[in-house]
Order: sequence, then C-alpha cells, then structure tokens
Amino acid sequence: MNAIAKAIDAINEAFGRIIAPLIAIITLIVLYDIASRFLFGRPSDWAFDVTKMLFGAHFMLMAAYGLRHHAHVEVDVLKRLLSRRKQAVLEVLGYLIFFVPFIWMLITLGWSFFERAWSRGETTYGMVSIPVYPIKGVIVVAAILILLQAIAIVLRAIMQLREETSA
Amino acid sequence: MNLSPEMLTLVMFGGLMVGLFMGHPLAFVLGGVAVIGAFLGLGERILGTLINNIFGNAMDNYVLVAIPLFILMARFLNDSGVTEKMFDAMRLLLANLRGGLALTVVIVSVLLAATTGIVGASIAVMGMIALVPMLKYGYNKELSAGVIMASGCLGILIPPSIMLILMASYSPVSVGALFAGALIPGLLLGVMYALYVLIICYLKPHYGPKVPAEERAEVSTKQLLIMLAKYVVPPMSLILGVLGALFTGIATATEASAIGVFIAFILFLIFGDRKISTCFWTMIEAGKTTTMVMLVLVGATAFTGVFSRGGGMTVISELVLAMPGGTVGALILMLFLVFVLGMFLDWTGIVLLSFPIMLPIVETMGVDMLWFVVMVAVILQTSFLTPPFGYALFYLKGVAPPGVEIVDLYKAVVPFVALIVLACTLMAFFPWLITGLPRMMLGGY
Amino acid sequence: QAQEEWTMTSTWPENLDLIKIDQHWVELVNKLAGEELQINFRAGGTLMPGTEVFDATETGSIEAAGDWPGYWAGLNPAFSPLATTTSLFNGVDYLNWIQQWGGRELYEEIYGQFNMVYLPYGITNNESGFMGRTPIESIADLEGKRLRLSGRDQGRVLEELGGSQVTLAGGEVYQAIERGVIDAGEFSTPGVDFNAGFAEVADYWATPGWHQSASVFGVMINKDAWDALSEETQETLRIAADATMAWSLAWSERQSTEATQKFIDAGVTINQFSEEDLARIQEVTNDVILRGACEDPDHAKVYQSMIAYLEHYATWRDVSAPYNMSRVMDNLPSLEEIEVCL
Ligand code: NA
Ligand code: NA
Repeated sequence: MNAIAKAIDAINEAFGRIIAPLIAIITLIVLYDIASRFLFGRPSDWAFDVTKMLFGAHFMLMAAYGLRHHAHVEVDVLKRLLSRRKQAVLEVLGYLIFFVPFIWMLITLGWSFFERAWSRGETTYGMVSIPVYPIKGVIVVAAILILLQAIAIVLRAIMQLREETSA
Repeated sequence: MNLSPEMLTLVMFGGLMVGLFMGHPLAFVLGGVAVIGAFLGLGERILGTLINNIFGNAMDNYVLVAIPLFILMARFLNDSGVTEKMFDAMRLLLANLRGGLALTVVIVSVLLAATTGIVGASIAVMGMIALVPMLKYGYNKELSAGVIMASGCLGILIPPSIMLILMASYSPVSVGALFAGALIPGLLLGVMYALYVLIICYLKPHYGPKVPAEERAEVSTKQLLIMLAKYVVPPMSLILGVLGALFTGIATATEASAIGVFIAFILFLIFGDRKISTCFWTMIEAGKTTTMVMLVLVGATAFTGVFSRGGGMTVISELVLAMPGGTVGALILMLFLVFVLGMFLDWTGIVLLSFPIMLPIVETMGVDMLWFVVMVAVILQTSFLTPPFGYALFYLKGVAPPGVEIVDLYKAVVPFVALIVLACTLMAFFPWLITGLPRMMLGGY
Repeated sequence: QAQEEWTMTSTWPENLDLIKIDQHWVELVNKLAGEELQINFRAGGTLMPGTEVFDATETGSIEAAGDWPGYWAGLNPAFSPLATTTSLFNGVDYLNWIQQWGGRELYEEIYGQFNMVYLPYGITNNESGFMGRTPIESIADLEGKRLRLSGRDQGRVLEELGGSQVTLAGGEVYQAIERGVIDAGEFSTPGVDFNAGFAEVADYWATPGWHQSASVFGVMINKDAWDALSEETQETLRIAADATMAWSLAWSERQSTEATQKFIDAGVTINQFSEEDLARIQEVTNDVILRGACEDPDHAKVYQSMIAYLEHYATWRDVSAPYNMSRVMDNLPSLEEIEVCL
C-alpha cells in the first residue's frame, strides 16, 4: 500500500514540476502580444486563444500536485481536534461521499466533452484555427491525476487506521 | 428523485456545510454536492451542464488569466527581499512615534497591497518580519497580531486584486471600474487602521512603546533617507507600472499583470539572489496558489450551475425580496449574508455562490451595481479575519512565535472587524466614496 | 396541464437587446402551445456561459437555446454564412433564401449533424459598422488601424484592406474603445450598440457595416426533445418562429432608426464609405468567400446555395427596379469556382 502511495506521489511530483513553468510561457506570450501591438503595430492573431488555453491547462494540471502538497482550501480546525483515528475515518468518508461523485463526473462527462471536440476537429474561430480538443482533453487528464493522488491519500488513511487498530 | 427547489436548496447547502466541517477540500465538496444535487434534483441528464460551466467559466476565461500572473508577480516581489528592507527603513523612520511599528505595518501593507495582493503571502511575510520585533519592543500582543492580519487583507481590496478580477468576471462591472471603485475604500480602511493604532497607543502608551533611542541612533538621517529611497522606489515602480498601464488604457488587466510579472522579475534580478532554482520554486509556489484559487472556482461553478438550474436561486432571491424593509432591508440582509458566509467560506466560493443570486436582485432594485460589488469586496475582508475559519488567522498562526495562541488571534481581530463594519456604514451613507473615482477616471462605468 | 417542460437559455445576457428576439419567440410559444409545452426561459450566462449553450443543447442537458450561428463556426465553418455574410446578403435576402430558396433545409442539415433541430427566427439587417475615437472615412483610413471585428472571413477582408483584426468579447468593446486599446470596433446594429453605451465612448462612426451585411438568429432544439412533441406542437413552434422572424426584421429596423438619431444627437460624426470603396470591398470579399468556401465542403455548399439564389433572383430584382427588394449586386463571387469545391 505504502509503495503504491509513494509511486503516485512521485508521478504527481514530477508532473507538477514539469507543468509549473507553463506560467512563464503564458507571461511571455502576453508580453509578446503587447509588444507586437505597440512595436509592430499589429496584434498577434493567436496569442489571445493560446494564452487562454495554456491558463486552463496550467491550473487544472497543477491540481493534483496541489493536492499532494495540501495546497487546496480545506477547513481542518475541527478535524484537528479529533484523534488521529477519527481523522482518518473522516478523511476516507469525505473522499467517498464528495470526491467520488465529483471525479466520476469529471472523468466520464469530461471524456465525452473531449470526444465531441475531437471527432469533429473543433477549432477556435479567429483568423487562425487552433484545435480545441487538447484543452478539452486536459479535463480528463487532470481528473485522472487528481484521482491517483486521492487514492494515495485514502491508502494512507487506511494504513493509519490499521496501525491504530493493531496498536 | 426530483426534489423541490426548496428542498434542493436545503440539501445542497446542508451538504456543503457537512463537507466543510469534515475538513474535506472545499473544491471537492462543492463539486461533489453539485453532482449529488443534480441527481436529487432534475436528474442525470443535467450533469452535462457541470462540464459546460467548468470549461466555460473557469478554463476558457481570458479575464482570469490575470490571476496566475498576479500571483507570480507577488512571488517574485517576495523573493526579491525588498519587502523586508522596506519595513526596516520605515520602522526607523517612525521610531520616535508611539505605535510607530504598528503604523509601519499598516503603511508597508498598503504599499504591498497596491503592488500585488496575495493575502496569504503578505500576512506571512509581515508576520515573519514584524511580529517578533513588535513583541520584543513590548507591543500589545493583540494589537500587533490584529494590525498585521487586517492590513495584510487589504491586498485583496486595493487594486490590483485577483478577487476584484474574479468579481468583474461574474458581474456586469468591468475590471477597470472595479479597480477604480475599490481604491478609495481600500485606502480609507488603511487610514482607519492607522488612526486606530495612533489613537489607542496615545490612550494606552504601553500598547506601542517607541523604538529605543540607541537603536534609532545607529543609523544617520542621511543613511535612512537613502535606505528609504532605495527600498520604497521598487514597489512604487511596480505600482506605477501595473496600475499606470491599466488606468491609462495601454493594457487590459491581463496584460497589466504580465507587465507586473516582468517588473517584479527585474526587481528579483536586482535585489534577489538571481538563482534559476529560486525562479523554479517561485513558479511551483505560484502554481500551487493558482490551482488552489482556481479549483475552488471549478467546484463552485459546478455547484452554482446545478443550484441555479434546480431553482435554488429563485428560492433564495424570493426570500431576500420578502425581507421587510424594502430595498434597504434586502441590501442589509444580503451584505450580512456575505459577512456570515465569510465565517465559513473563502472569497472565491462566496463570490461564485452569492453573485448569481444577489446581482439580479440588486439589478431589479435599481441599486448601483458597482457600489454593491465594492461593498461586498469590503465586507469580504472579514472573511479572512472572522473565526472560526479565517485564513488570516491560520496564516499568522503558521509563522507566529510560541506564546501567540489562536485564541489571542481571535481576540485580536475584533476591533478591526468593527472598523470594517464602520467603513461599510460610511460607504452606505456616502456612496461617492466608491463611485466617485470611477466616474472621474472613466467618465462612467 | 403542460405535458412537456423545457429549459431554454440563450447566448445573450439579460442586458443585451438581442435577447428580446428569443423572448418574443418564447412568449409566442408559451401562449400558442402552452397546453402541451411550457418553455422556462433563462437569460444567457445564468445557467452556463453563452459559449457553452451549443454543447449543452446537443447533449440534451438543456432542451433549447437561442443563438447566433456564427459562434459555432469552429465546429463547422458552414455556420458562418448561416449567421451572416460579409458584403453579400441583406435582411430580405436572408428572408427570401430561408423561406423559398432552400436556406431552411441547410440550417436543418448543418444543425442536424449535431443532434439538433434549428428554427431560424430572427433577422436583423445591416450592422452599424465601426465606431471609435478615430475617424475612418475611406478604406485608405483602415491602413494600420486596430479594429475589433468578429469572424474569420471578416478578418481576412480587413487584413486585405490593410487593417488588423482584434478579437474581443462583446462586453469588452466599450472599454477597449474608451481606452484606445482599439481604434474602432463593431458590435451589432445601431439599436443594440446605442443601448450598449457606444455613443458615450465613440466620436466617429463609419458606415455601412459591410463586415456584416445582415444577421440571422434562431433556436437550437435538442432532437430528442423535439421528437417528443406532437406534430401539431412542432408546427406551432415553426409558425411562431416565422412570426418572430418577420417581427424581428421590423423591430430591429425601428430600433436602428431611433438609435441612429440618438447617435447623431449625441454628436457622433457619421462617415459613409464611397461607392468606389464599397466596390473594392466587394472585390476583396468575393476572393475571401471563394477561399473560405473551398476550405470545407459544407461551407461551399451553403455559399453555393446563397449565390445561386442571388443569381436566380437578379433577373426579377432588376426588372422590378426601383421597387425591388434585396441589394443590387452585379459583382458576385464566382458560382462556378465554388461548385468545383463541393
Ligand atoms: Na492588491
Ligand atoms: Na472566515
């Protein structure tokens, strides 16, 4: 169990580190767009759409990394008052009641959302046609990474429970 | 199941509260309740709307691109180390004043707020560099903590602010108008905090003693002026660069945020350690903060999509409109609801949950939309401060020295929350405090 | 009581006048077919962002949505001429073509690819044109200007004329003009533009709106929801759509008339492109239409039908001059060249 959790941690650690610098690319594209407007008198015809897509990809694909590092907003003041065993129970329950339906929805509906764009070759409709399916596919990839990280968290909670029971 | 809109409202908000108190990540609670609500309400077929909302509202939204960029800008500014040096210079400048350190906290926080506005970052930074010296010089524990937390929250109100950007994206008011509208209220709060500090330290000198004369004497006046020039100029350049680009119309909010990153990066090159690894970890930290803010938005947009479709919005707006006292009663009730929500939720969730319900009501009543949105922005300051779940409390507790307990922090925020309520009252009676500047700068909004 | 209950939304938010066309149709339907169908209409943006209503109607998570077909051109470029043309159709042309020259069937065919039935129910005639703080008196003035303009063909024409296309969301145009982020911008018809506050920020207005010589609006209906209706109700919905179409044409012309006067009263200077300039724009447009049409067979098919109509109608149109309807156009994109691309 611990090995699985560690492997998942490693995957998301690596993935998050690869994705994080995307923000630098976004900045550079916006700066390029401003520069082309003022210096060359001609706005870029792709920067708007590309910036928006990279932004969507950036925060979605960082979500699992954020979960691994407890970055997401949660209200744990009450939880902290409980015993470690009860905390673990609460953790597992939270994931079962709230996370499971949410991630199921993200993966299944996200997939058909992606599939509709993919099968029709949906593009943006500016001067340049940029394919839309990659950014729609990001939802599914992000959801799978988050699911993996959640599995690691729940596995750790279960290990915690076992320890407490055997102790 | 086909629950009635009234039942759906109860079940969804009930579920939200349960999930919240269980300590489950807010984004997943919101998203999970949305899916459950869809099944209980109108049925599986409306689930598709969730993806449409998540994609359209959160991922495919150009205005929001400013959020990660302002976060990155804040990180670079933080890594440049300018903040700490600026604090030192200001502290020595105000050394002869009772409560001078606390006043320094307010001034530096306002400057920081006008450059960036990541509340967590500015409270953590001020907590680290100001709390220990204040306690060391014998400042009152509650005054010290309170002033750090309340001033740190100004970052979200004084432009540029990612909260205002999000609010603009979910209301008919533009980012520019909202920035202009929130500037005076933000500065007003800063002035009120400063006055409070001066008055209480005048009345109770032991609350904020002067800096010992020996320490002040270590630095000559000339040296001090050089220090000031050197470390107050960088944040000023950032303020001019970002707000200047925005208000002169050279750039949109998103573009201004990229310009801000650029300037902050230059400051990092000048004052920071210039290491590539620092840059890398800055981007990692910015990514974590971004995904934290945006994922709540993802969950909240799913939640409101189902809630609105299931008729919950109508239930709540009918309730509000049935409030005795007409327009004024309804306004007070709505702003009070925002205050109460602030005790439990963070601003992202509150904006996403309350705007779709409240703004149509505000429009029906013919109340100035910009005024209302800025009022909400001011009140949301308290969402960081009010127990049980104020993030400012946790941020400061995280960096506070031993001996500062969470209960001390709870007590510390009381006068400042009162000041925020007082500021809101002022703005209710003098709406031009909000609407005056945007009218002057933009001609209309 | 009502057997069917639909939720319908729109691409337009409450504060944009175009939503009135959707509301007009919904009111008619609820009045005429209320026994069998009640439509619960929600303004754009309240259930989901306007850009997502196509997907939501296709999947059936809402039953219907009012739209402007051009927003979906990224899914099939044929949606673009179904929505508007650059310097080609006027409002009466769309009316003729939809009702009598096979246009309706093409709407049904293209939307049919996405599990939807489409009822075109709104036509607005010529859009305002460019409004801004910089005067544009001729196409020579377009050189080097930054102009907000939507649509790919429109952008290509502008680029040929020397200007650059800036794509902005409709809601951002006002501020972009005010701040000088763009030199000028187009948004909709004078009626809609005035209510969006353009007179407050623009000093100059360049007419006519060649970029969008007329526009079509309609309702997308999920196929399964449509099939669940009786034939009588389906017929009622179609009749309501036709009635709304006639109403919308006159309504928007009335709005534009009143708004034009308001723009003049507000001190906005109107400049009209010369006949030579418009002839040049037509030249460029014809090339751009040919180029775009040939990039996709559906796109070519719609243009083929439209230009065939214009050629067919031209005889009677010219014979009945000066009492004719439609634009008098002698320079059209080559029908033969488009037919090669089918
Ligand atoms: Na700020
Ligand atoms: Na709170």
